[in-house]
Amino acid sequence: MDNIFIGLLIIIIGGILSIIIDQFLEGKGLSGYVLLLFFIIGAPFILIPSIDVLITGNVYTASYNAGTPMNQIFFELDGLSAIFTTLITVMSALVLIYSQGYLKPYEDKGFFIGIHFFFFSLLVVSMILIVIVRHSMLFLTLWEIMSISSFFLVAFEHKDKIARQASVNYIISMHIGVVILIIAFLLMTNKSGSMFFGDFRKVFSANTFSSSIIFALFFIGFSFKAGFVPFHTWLPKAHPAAPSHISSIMSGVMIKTGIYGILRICAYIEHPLAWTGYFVLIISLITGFFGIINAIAQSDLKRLLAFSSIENIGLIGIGIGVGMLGLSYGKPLMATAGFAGALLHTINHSIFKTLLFLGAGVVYNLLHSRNIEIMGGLIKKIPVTSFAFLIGALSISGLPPFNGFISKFMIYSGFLSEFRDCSNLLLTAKVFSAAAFALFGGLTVACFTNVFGIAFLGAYRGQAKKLTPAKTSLWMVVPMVILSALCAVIGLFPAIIINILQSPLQSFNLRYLPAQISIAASISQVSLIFVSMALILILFRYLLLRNKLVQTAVTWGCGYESPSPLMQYTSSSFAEPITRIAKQIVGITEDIKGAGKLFEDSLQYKSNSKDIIDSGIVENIWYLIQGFLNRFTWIQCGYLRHYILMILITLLVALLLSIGSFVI
Amino acid sequence: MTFAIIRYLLMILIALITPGIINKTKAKCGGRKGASILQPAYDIIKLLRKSEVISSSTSLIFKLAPSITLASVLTAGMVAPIGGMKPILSFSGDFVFFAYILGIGRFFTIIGALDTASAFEGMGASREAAYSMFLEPAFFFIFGSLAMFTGVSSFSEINSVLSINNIAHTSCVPGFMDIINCWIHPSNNMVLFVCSMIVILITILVEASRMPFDDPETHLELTMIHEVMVLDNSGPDLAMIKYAAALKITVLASLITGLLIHNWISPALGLILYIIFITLTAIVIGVIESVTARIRLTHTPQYLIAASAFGITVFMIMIAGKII
Repeated sequence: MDNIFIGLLIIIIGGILSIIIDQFLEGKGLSGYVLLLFFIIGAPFILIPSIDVLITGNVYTASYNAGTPMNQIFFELDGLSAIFTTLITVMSALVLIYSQGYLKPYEDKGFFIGIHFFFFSLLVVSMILIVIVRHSMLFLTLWEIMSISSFFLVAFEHKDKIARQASVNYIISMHIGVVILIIAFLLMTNKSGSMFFGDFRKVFSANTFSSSIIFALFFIGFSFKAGFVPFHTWLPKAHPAAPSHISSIMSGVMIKTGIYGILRICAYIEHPLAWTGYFVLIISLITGFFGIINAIAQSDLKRLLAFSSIENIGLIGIGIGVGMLGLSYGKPLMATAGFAGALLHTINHSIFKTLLFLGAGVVYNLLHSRNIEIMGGLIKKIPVTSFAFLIGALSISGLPPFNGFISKFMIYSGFLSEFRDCSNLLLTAKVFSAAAFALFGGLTVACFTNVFGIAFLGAYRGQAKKLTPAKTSLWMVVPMVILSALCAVIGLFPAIIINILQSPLQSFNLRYLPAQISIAASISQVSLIFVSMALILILFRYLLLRNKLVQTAVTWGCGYESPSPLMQYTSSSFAEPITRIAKQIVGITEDIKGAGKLFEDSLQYKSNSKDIIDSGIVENIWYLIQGFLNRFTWIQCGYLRHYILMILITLLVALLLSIGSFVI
Repeated sequence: MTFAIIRYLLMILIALITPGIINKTKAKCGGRKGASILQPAYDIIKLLRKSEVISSSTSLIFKLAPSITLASVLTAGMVAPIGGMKPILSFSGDFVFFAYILGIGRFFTIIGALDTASAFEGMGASREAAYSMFLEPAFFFIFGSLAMFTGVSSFSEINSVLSINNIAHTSCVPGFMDIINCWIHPSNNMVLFVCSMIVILITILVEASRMPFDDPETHLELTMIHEVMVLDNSGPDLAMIKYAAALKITVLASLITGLLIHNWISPALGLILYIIFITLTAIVIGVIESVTARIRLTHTPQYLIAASAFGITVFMIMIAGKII
């Protein structure tokens, strides 16, 4: 346990040094290397105990006396925490390596790179502490540090108005979320009598309605971070605004702390009430559908990936819902498949979403645009990135032999097992969720064939002169190659990762059934057969064509001889068959200028997609709140002495209240 | 295992003549003599011997796509039940794998089409992505309901449980008539099988790009779906694409036989029934192609959603059956 703190200390020292070097020692460009060096020294201190926990199943605990107001604080590294510490450390290390190359063009342009790296280290340290702390008040404090440090990371391009707005929107969302969390933790502390997480168990084991309300509050509070619909509105704004490596750390790791929170609370509930399971399942199904259908309609690459993250959070939530239903109906296979599937998808999503965002970053550095409609043919300019992106796209579509399939399969096996003695409601939930899951899969394929096909394949749509042959820095290529290799390895040999999940499942008092482990071997077998079959056919094709003259000619344009790249199908027209049906949900607005005249000289068509929950619901609520709060503007009168008076009154009232409660 | 491999090879061979049977049926319905049922096989062999012309705007993806698509269908065939007998590979949840391995083939067909930078192929790719998306839930409704009904979740286990349900009605040496008796026996829910067959048939028609969803013989690129996606493929690549399409029909038709042919009949009879069923499916497809007109593209999704409606019907029958 102490090792982890040493590791965290090393990382934070690296962060502080990178500020000092950047600001005072005129060492521009060095600050990133300094943090990377310290990170690489510090990471083993965190990874070794985590991996030890994952392999042996030990649980390390520590407690310190922190004095008033926290009193005794507790730390614990169990399987569930260890999965997350490993994930956070590895992903942050890869992203940090990538950022060395990504931030090169930003040096000497007035960006605060040293401070950026400091907040990066602070974010990583706070995330790791969040997953090992077991003390309500410290947890909330760290939660705030995480939100605030990531706020500064999002606001990196602070001179850009959109980036500023997005980061402010983000911090507001986080604070609404934290208020709900504070309420939940206060209610919990009030009921359990201590701030120690372990005491939550006895409140939940009472299994009353009020305890499930507390669970719902926890779920909603953590949902703001994780991005469950309708609390997701910050995600599609913050991700495009943030620099790509920050988007990937946020989407790949940070939103998973919300999932961690939900899972941690679930681990303290032995027999959840059935309605909480259905509640989680339904919210997750809505999240999944809303996320992916909006992802299809986007033409901003990073906004699309942000919506796809929302979908994947939905899939993880579905896993959690299945697990909770399994627990509440006493079906161990469903419970293990649900929770293991949720954890596995958390790991997998973290790998491929980080990969996809890093790929998007390379594209952004090349074109200085995120608009898919002007891309095309990038595979010829940045082949390694393109193939890495392809692997990410295949994985996120859940296709074998890549890792996304393994976790989706795990969750499917939760739906499609233990049908005996189920109520009709549960049966309906299972079969309809399986069908919905399949629908999301089909939509994801449509979404990512669109992105990959339009952006990376075909011909470049912009002005051809602008696109100089790019040389992607090795700093940026290596992390992507590692991540794509991880996707393939987990997909082909799932047994490794499925066995590692044994120890986090112990946190839920669950263990695998033998059938589940043998399935991993079967999948591995069929996936290997598929890969070898594909290789044989590719070889076969090569042998057939070896001695023949393969000609190159222009694409068949139905007789038209000189096609222009602008005649290619666009991303929004590719998505049209789907977005037309879901027009209301994706909020497509169309604007045609110059139509209707007899002899049109110029015609302009513009279509846009907006987040209906953000513009339809959240903004209206916002106006209502603003209208209400406007009545209190008289308090802010502008006189300092009035403010001091008010502080005094507040303190007096608080004092009286606390005395009053003691007397009673 | 050896027999399973032999059956698998048989399926691969039957796939060569399935499109031939469909074409022959269409010719007969149209009052023509028609080409030999081996004609598609000859086409494939001829294409394999040819060289290729590759579009200048393509990349490596375009060259890999047909091979990967064929590999995906071949792998899907390994888990598909052939007659009532165990496939080469069988594990719980293999129908999930079946659906997703076909997905990777589709993924590569789509991006292969987009790689050519042609507007027409983009159109085909977009429609393929949208239509197959609508079919996914229907497939899972059917097999999810069957898994619920039988309590197991692999093709061969579902088959064996369905067979056990019926074995009481057979004579000592089960023969062809016993199977027919089983189908019409009241304990066997015919609506269920009919609905399942309709869904699988719609899946075949869409996946294999047949009327009324797609017209494989149209001469107008604008209205095509699957054929337009492979406009630029030639030689061995085209051969692999054609063969993959034919194999897909056969593999999906095998799913129907997996529901209808029980595992207690003798393997030889099973194989004969299997061949009869595949031929029948091909003839039915041919007749459907001859008597229907192409649906308007914008109306296609409605018909596809109807497939899901059949799926939900199956599920409701199961639930109702459970209550009684």
